Amino acid sequence: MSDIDTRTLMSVSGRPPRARRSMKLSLSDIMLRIVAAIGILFLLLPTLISIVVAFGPSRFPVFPPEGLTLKWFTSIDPSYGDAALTSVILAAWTAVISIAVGVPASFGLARWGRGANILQTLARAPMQVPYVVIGVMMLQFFVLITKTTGVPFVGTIRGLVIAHCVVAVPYVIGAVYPTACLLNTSLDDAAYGLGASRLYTFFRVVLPSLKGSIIAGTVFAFLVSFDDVPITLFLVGSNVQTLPVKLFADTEFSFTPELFAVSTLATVVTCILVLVLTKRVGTQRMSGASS
Amino acid sequence: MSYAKSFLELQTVRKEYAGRPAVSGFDLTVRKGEFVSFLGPSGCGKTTTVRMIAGYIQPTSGRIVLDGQDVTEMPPQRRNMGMVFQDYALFPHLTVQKNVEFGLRVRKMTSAKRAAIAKEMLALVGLADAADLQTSQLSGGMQQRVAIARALAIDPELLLLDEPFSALDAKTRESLRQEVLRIHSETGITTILVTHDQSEAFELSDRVVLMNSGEIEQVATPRELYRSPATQFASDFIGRSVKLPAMKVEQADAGGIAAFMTKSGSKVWATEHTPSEGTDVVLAIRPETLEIVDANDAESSSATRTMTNTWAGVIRDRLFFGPSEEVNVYVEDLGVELPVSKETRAGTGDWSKGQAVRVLLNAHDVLVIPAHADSALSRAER
Repeated sequence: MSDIDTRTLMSVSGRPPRARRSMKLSLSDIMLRIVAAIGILFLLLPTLISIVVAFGPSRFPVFPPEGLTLKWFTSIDPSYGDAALTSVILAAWTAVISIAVGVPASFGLARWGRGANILQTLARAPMQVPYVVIGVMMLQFFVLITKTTGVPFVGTIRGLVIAHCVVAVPYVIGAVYPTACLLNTSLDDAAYGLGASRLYTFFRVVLPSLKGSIIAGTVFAFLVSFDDVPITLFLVGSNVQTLPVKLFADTEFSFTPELFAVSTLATVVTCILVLVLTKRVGTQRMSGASS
Repeated sequence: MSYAKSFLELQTVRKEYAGRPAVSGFDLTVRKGEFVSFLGPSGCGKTTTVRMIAGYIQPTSGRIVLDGQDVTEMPPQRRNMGMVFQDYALFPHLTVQKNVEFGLRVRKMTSAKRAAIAKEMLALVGLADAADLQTSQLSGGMQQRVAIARALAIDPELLLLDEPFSALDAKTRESLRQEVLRIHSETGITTILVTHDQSEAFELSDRVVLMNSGEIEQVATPRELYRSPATQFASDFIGRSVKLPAMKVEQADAGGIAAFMTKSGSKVWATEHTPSEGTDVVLAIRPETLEIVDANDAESSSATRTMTNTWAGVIRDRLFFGPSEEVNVYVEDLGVELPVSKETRAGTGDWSKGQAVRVLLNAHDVLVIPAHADSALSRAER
């Protein structure tokens, strides 16, 4: 009897069976799908075209390509490898430091209560400032610091990490703060009651519960740093060159499919990174949300 | 009942928030192994009190003594109490077993020992097979069982249950109550339950602490609390009753039965102990203590004059519930409608609207409540 009840309930409150639904596709449904498809195509097209062009044999970018070749990939200049390595190191440092700053900050903001709103707005402020402005500001700031201390910042990895953290930390807070707010304070109480110290509770209860959003924050911070041009442009030097800035600069001199080949590789690598991590985050989120 | 072996003592415990008392003058002694409930409406301070016992909240004044040791200033980490929360508060990133082991891991117990205790605790709460599941895979009732196992694993001095059944559906709630009762009798652990549900408190506890507006209204066994509410709040909050303001007019006779005069000028016989003649009281009448008989049968079924109150009345309406029904009888002499609760049995349903009946009430069943000892609110006013 209970079996029947469950089935009846499900057909009343649940979704109608899929088969019937697809048969009765109304005009508005079709329109919606077309609009959505156009939107997605519009967003992806530039990337798709540059990927396709990278496989064309012509020295000048032509679409559609007149043949298929891998020669642009094999002839990539080694300096791109150096730049890519610099970008990865820079992005990794940025991610690590932004997490180290952003996670405790989010947790503090979530537990602070009064005044947290203002602090939170302040913490997110760098997202509102145009990156070019931040680039100029950081340049002036570094020049001033170097003048007084003698420590060089412009044209160094250390300078770039600091500048990137300024814009990456707000992303980390954006990812972690909402979850930290949802985190039940009775979890802390439960841990204290079982004898756990505050520190133990933070590392064994709070951090693991925030794992999903911390991973998301790491991805954000990494990507923000990895593909930044406007800020980095002001701070690179002859020794330090990041991949996006090198691509940007080279576009002016040699607009060849080689650039597209590099972009294609960069796109593929980033896509893999994001896919792998979001998949992990997805499952983490689910188990974290049920607290 | 011996109070000699006091295990937990709360001495004039008070908690203020911004100068306003959330709990005040809280005095309570709990014996080892006792099951005590804090019962009251929301905002009465019951959760605040249990959180003070657990150490999550510092009392503004007063002392909390556990097994002879003053723990008032002690942080929750060192109190060794097993707390169970309304929202389970299971660690979402840990399996059921790891949750139960959490407190043991903090205590740096070896993994073999931890596993053995976790196994025992999970068996105790009937979840022996669920050890490796994620907590998100469990139903609410099962999650709360895990929380109880986790709280008991550290071998706590006290088990504190803060509204543990509120988030559960009615059926699960009932079965978990039975479970808690069984766990209490098997482990003999001193337990404090916070609840706003009187049937929960009655079913589970040895004694009930009835609270209102941050103060204790009455501490009594469930039966005492129901049969002799000390205050008007107690009689309002516990069960149902019809209230009749009255004044004592005749001292108790040898059988302990005194006469009271209601505002409507009719005499009511009741057993009472304290008030002297001329004292204002409130008489409370519970529906299940009333009996109705046909107007013509009255003489035959009524007992001695002083033992039973007998009033003439007219049936106004009837409500049928299934196992019982309620017959509302208007009693001219008292100027009130009395709900009479009757169990459904053969031959009990032959009452009709407008029928003249007599209502019988044993003098021992009339609750006599001092008129002024009504609530914390009026105490504060005085």
